Amino acid sequence: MTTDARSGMTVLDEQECWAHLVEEQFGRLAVAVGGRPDIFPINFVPHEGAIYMKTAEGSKLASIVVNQAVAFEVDGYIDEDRRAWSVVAHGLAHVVGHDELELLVEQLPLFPWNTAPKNRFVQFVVKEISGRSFIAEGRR
Amino acid sequence: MTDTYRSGLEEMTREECLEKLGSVHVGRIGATVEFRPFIFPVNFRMYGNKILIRSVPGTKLDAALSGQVVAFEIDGFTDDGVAGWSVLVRGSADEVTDPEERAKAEQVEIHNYAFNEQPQRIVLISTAGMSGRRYDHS
Repeated sequence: MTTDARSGMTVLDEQECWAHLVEEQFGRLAVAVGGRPDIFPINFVPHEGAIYMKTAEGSKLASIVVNQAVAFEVDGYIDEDRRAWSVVAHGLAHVVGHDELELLVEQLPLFPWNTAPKNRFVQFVVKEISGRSFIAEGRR
Repeated sequence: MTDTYRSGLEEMTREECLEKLGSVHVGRIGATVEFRPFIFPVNFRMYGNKILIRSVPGTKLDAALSGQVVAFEIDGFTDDGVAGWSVLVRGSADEVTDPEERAKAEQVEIHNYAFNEQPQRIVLISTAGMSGRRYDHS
């Protein structure tokens, strides 16, 4: 942890960022298609430098196919420390193919294995991750 | 609260979306910079039917907010954790430059925990393009 002189915020190192991610299961995926930004709330599981998400066919999946560059955000508030934190990751996302799927599910038993026909898995390989935290008087 | 168009998903009305926007103070800005998506958690308040954000010149967030179309998202869970909801707004982010309007908008108190000593721009995002969903996991 270091402090950013200009903003006064605490800067989280890479390890601290991942430590926050493993505690959470709900984040927001940001995509850009044709220069238009979009945000999707999504459930996720982090695993070995990547973030895995399950999604149905739809605009989310279509966006990733069109532009693999994505951003991902998770934030939270720790009551006992009165500390708000956020982590943002950047990288490339791709839809997991059938051949990779079996391996993935073996590695990640956290996934509910109720594969209705339209459930697809997305792997987001994280290239950059950064986080901030600061003392805040409660949070809404 | 109508239109169950996918199982477990319910579309929220504009009124419900505005009510949610008035009930939370932390949202996320999604923006595109050179074809790359960015996402920033931000403190905000409602200013009429617009989303009011303060940004500091020279920051990435500020660059993302310079007259561009942005996405803005809030979400939450019901107290019992059974159902979740999210609201997504798409609109242009426009700085308040008119001195009279600026003086009015400055009255809106936003707790900015960072960059407190620096000059800030006030940016408004229209909620004309807005949608909300409720997710019921029960």
